[in-house]
Parts: sequence; C-alpha cells; structure tokens
Amino acid sequence: MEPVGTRPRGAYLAWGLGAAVLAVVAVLALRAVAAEVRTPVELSPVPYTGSASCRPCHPDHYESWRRTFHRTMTQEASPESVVGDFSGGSFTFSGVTSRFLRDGERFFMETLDGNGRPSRQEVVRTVGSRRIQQYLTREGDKYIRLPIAWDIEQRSWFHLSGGFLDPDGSDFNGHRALWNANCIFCHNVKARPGYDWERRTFDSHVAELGIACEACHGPGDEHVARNALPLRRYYLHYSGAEDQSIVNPTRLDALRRIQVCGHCHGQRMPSPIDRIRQFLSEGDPYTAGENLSTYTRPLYRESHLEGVDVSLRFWKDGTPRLTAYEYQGLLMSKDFQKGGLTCQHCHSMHGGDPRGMITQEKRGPAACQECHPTTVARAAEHSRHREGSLGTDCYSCHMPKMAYGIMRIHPTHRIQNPDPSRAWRHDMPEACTLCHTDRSAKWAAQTLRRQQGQPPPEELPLDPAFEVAESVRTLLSGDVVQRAVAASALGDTRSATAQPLARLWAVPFLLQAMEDNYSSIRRMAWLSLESLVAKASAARPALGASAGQLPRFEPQASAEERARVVSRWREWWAALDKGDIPRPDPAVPLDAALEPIPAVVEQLLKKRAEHPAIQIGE
Amino acid sequence: MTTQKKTESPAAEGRARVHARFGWTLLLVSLAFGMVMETLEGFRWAPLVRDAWMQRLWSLAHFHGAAFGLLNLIYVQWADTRALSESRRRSASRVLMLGSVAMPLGFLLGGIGHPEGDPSIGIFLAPVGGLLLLYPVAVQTIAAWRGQST
Repeated sequence: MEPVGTRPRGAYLAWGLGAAVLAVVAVLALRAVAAEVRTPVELSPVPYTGSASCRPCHPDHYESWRRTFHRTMTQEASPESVVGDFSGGSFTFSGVTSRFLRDGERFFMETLDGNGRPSRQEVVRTVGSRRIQQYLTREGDKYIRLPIAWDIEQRSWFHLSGGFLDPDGSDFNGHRALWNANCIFCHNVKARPGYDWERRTFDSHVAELGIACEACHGPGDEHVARNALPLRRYYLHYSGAEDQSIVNPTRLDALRRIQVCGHCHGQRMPSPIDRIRQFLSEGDPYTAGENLSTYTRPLYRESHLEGVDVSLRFWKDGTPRLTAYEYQGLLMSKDFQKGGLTCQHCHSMHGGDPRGMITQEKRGPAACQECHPTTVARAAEHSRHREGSLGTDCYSCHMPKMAYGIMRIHPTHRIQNPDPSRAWRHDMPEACTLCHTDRSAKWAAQTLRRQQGQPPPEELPLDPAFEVAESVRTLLSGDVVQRAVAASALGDTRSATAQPLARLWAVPFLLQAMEDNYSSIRRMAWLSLESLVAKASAARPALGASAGQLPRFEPQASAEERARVVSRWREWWAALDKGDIPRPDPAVPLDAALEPIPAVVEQLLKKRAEHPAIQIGE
Repeated sequence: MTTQKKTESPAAEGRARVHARFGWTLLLVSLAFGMVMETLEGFRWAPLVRDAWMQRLWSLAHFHGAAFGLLNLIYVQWADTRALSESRRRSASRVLMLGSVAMPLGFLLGGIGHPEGDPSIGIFLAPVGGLLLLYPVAVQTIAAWRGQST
C-alpha cells in the first residue's frame, strides 16, 4: 500500500496561492467595508431598537448608563421602581387628605380625581428616581400625573405646588397634568404622543421608557444590523473611522453636541409654532445629531408663548433662573461662543457620580483647567481669595447657584464674571453675596473694584435697602426665585464663613422665611435652618440638645401647625445663650440680642408685597 | 520496507521526542497559567474580574493550551506512522505544533487590550490555529483508516 502523501507535489504552491487569494479577498472586503463606513446614513427614518440590543457589544457603556437616573426617569410601577411609602399612610394638604396604599404588586393613591372628587387611582408609572418621584395613573388613553409626589431625600409626601413655585391657595389639581402631551417628550426615548386631532384621543408610544442609549446616540437598528459583520467592527476598532450608522456626540461639532443635551435640558418651542400639531401627533421630529434649530427654538426671556409669561423664567439680564434651561445658559456663555465649551467637558454620561453626572474632579477647578490653566494655577491671586478657600473655586464666582429646580438651587450654566451691580440693575443674585451672606451688594461692588485697583463704582443704588445684607434683603423683599436663592444660600455649604456658630445669625431670618406664602420657600428656609443648627451643634453640643427637643417643621402643614412650630423655634432662639455667637457684619439688621430689627424687616416685607404674586410651573 | 524503516527511525524518534518535550512544556505552561488565573479570580483581581472578555478568552487560552499539550503527547505514539510518507509526517508534526501554539495564543492575545464588546485583533490567530490543527488530525485520521500500524 502506498503511504498517504508520498508525492505532495506543488503543496507549497497551493498554500501560497491559497494565502494570496485569501489576502486579495481580505483587502477587497476591507476596501468595501471602508467605503460603506464612510457613506453617511440618514438616521431619522431608522427604527429604534432599545438599549438591550446595545448591551452585547457595549457592556461597559450599558452598565455605566444603567446606574444613572436617566434610565429610571420613567418606569412601569413595580415594587422595584416605586420608592414612595405606599404602606397606608396619609398626607393632608390644603384640606385634602390623600392616602397611599398597596395591594400586592399594585400601588394606589386615594386623592382628588380630575373632577375634584376623592377617588382611588392606580399608579401605573413612575417619573423620577433621584430627588422626587412622581406618579402616573391611567384614564383611558391618557396617563395623568398625580399632584402628590414623594420626596426621596426627605422620605415624605408633598404636594407638587411645593416642587414648583406656586403660592399657597393654588388649585389642588393645578399639577394634575397630562403626561402624553408634556412629560412624554423629554423623559423617554423618541416619544410619539399619537394625538388624533379629530377624535381628540391619544395613542402614545415611546421607543423606550426613560432616557436610554438612543436618546443621545440616535436610532440603533441600522447600527446593530451593519455591525453584525465582524470585519466592519474590527475595521472601526482599529481604523478610528467614524461609524456613520450611529451618533457619537463626542464627534459632533460643539453646537450639535450641546444640542443633544439641549434637546431636553433647554426648554424649547416648536418652530414654526404650528409645528406643535406635528409634535403632538407624530412626536418631536428631532433625532440626535441633527440641527435642533430645524424644528424648535429655545425659549428666551423675550420669547412669546401664549398663556405663559416666559419672562418669569429668566433673570432680567436674560439669564435662565430655572433648571432645564442649561442649554440657553451655555449658548449665552462666552466659553461656548468663543471657546467651544460643551456639556461633555464637565459632565460625563458614562462615568463619575450619577448625581449630576459629573466626576469628583470636575466638581472643582479642574473643570476649567483644560482651557484656563494659568488662571486655575494662580486661582488665589486671580480671585483675591485665600489659597484653598471656597472663594478660589471657579464655580463660586463664575457659576453661582441661582437656578431653581425641583426644590433645590443649582449652579447657573451661564458662565459669567461676577458683577455685584446685577443686584440692583437686574434684581438678580450676584456671586459675591451668595457666599458673603452677611454683606450688601454695595459692599461687594466697592470691594471688587478696590481689589481690581479701580476707582469706586459710580452707579451705586440710592435705595437704602441695598445697604442691607443682600441675602437678607432678597429673602424678605425679593420675588419668589430671589427668595428661594437667598433661603438656600444662607444654609449652603458654599460660604465665606467656615465657623458654624458664625452663621447662626441667619436663624431668625430663616424663621421669617418659614412664614413665606410659597411652601417651596418655607421648605428651603427650613432645610437651611436645620443645616445651620446641625453644624453649630457639632461645635456646641448643648445647642443641638436644646434644638433637638423642638418639633420638625412641615412646609405644607396647615397654617396653624406651621405657626405653632415657628413660634417654638422663635422662643428657642430668644432664650438661647448667644454669648459665643459671633456678630455678623453691621449690614445684617440685627439688634444686640441678635433679633431682627423690626422696622427694617417691615420695610423689606412691604417691598415684597409690591411684587405681583407669580406662579412658575414646568 | 526494512530499508525505509531504517532511514525513518531516527527522524521518527527525534520527532516523538520533540512532541513529548513540546507537549509537556505546553501542558506545564497552560496549567501554570490556569492556576495563576484561578488564583487571581479567587482573590477577585479587579482588572480580570471586571473584564468579562478577558476572563473568558484567557480561560479558553488556558483550556486549549492544556488540551493541545495532551494532544501532542498522544501524537508521540503516531509520530512515525508508516501509513504516511516522511514528508507528510514532517509537515503534520510542524503544523500540529504551530496550531497548538496559535490557537491558545490567539485567545490569550484576544483578551489583552481588547476594544469594548470584541476581542482584540490577536483573536484572529485562534481560527488560524484551529484550521492548522485540522490538517494533522485529518491526515492522521486517514492514516488510521488505511489500517497500517505504527
């Protein structure tokens, strides 16, 4: 028998030929892939595929997104998603007692229905999971946002009038809102309200509940299909080429990049306004990566929106004073206009702290380092503040906290140089006195000019109220957002005074603010007071012990109950040994016993009464 | 036949020795690598535990390395099969060793510095190694079916 392969003739030639054919095929395939990858893909008609299809190829990005509050923005109600206490408790607001019940895996809220009658309404979806959680019930084709929400941080129920800026006595059902035509757009991926203008019914659908991958990266179906080919994936991995079948915001130009975020973090109106019909029936036509201005234009102070006083949402210099206007703030900033600063310079969608979607590093001066290395390196000299103090933190002066959003004051996203004259020119907060809370805006203007080696400002206000510490002036006489900013600043961790006892002077003014006719202001004043007392207690435990005996303040309790609690706290303050409490600057209207000077307080409150009552909703 | 055996024996013995050395060495390296990896997993070494692709591909490298080490040791018995010509035996031996290294190496490299969701480009060595291994296995199978003893 002949052994196998005794004459392997031409074996090397065959191997060589095979290798050559393989090489030619590989090169041709690569060229074809490269050409296909370079071909632009029209993404708007591409179907959405859902975050689950992103997971196999992008497990790290999927996981980093999964832990964000974006993901849990809208969820079906379930024991996992519902964070409110539905164990049968109740909450009374404005004479209406609401109850919160659970039956197995179903959740119910007994409160007023749309007709103002008490009724048991099933919670079918949740909105929010970080600060507050709102609840949706279903009425036929409509999802209705219920007016009572859960405060996650305080672990308590509250009426939404305290989340927005509504004065006492507002309609209980004022925030009983239609989800299909409002929240649906920004709290989900590619919403389609499906409003039938003739039948007046909704057939709403979303690509995915919550804010998922495709909200920022565009529809993924084509991307998934094309990248089933390994050669394409490896070409993309190692060539660095851009994949045209999906949007990578970091590869967009600065404007398009901030528009991806601005789509939701920048309140807009359809453009032209008639396009609202398309929005309500087919949904927002914008797809990530497109020019947002094609379909909408951002709301500004001078924008006209029927039935809404848009100007209330902005400070008088045009700076947004509510959250969800960060896009406008950035558009107005020179750092964007001249430097191309984008949201992603500081915020990270896939890293850092999900609260704020920012890394710890970017919470400090490092955020500015990349573009302003010299200034950051000599921050103390630049800011004329002590080395290492909060005054050397870029945010303190250039992005002060002055935007109201869901029971908190947030940093403005209009990045500006501090200018104390804004206090009297535009009736708005200014950076210096948000930290130096016991100083007047006039003091800030004069000090700043002196530090800059310039002559004193000529345009100082004549109104004697501006001699008063700006935080006190605005807390008592400002409009509702000014008061909110002041109430928050008085207890904020960002302060010129590190000594806890030296900040206690604010207590009687905060007690005054706890009598405000807006529950949101009362809440912020109470939280500031609590914070000041807690910090001072560490320095003087006896103070904490006596304060610990006092009742907690509930900002939405009945007027009588609130008055009783405030009165107890006033008595406590009056009886407190204030010997070791440092006196603030004379700009704070306090007498020798550290009690507010009635005449000044009265005058400031009178000024406030001159402001018309305003209501600022979504 | 006698002449043929005389001329083939020294080469066959040399080949058997080479495969014995190669097989034991590959087995030693693969088992040692596997032990190190299991220890790292046991101590939850973050770079390995957090990276599912690395963990999976390195496990495959360890497993295939050990398996091919054993295959080479088994091959020692058939290294001088008379059912194959000398040139075929020589090429089968070389390709077996090449494939035994290429496939585990492909898995090992595939787990290093890989992009998200895919092994690194080194993974292409794995299918190449797999194809190479088919060759000696195929010719040895044919030889076995032809019925000649070793």
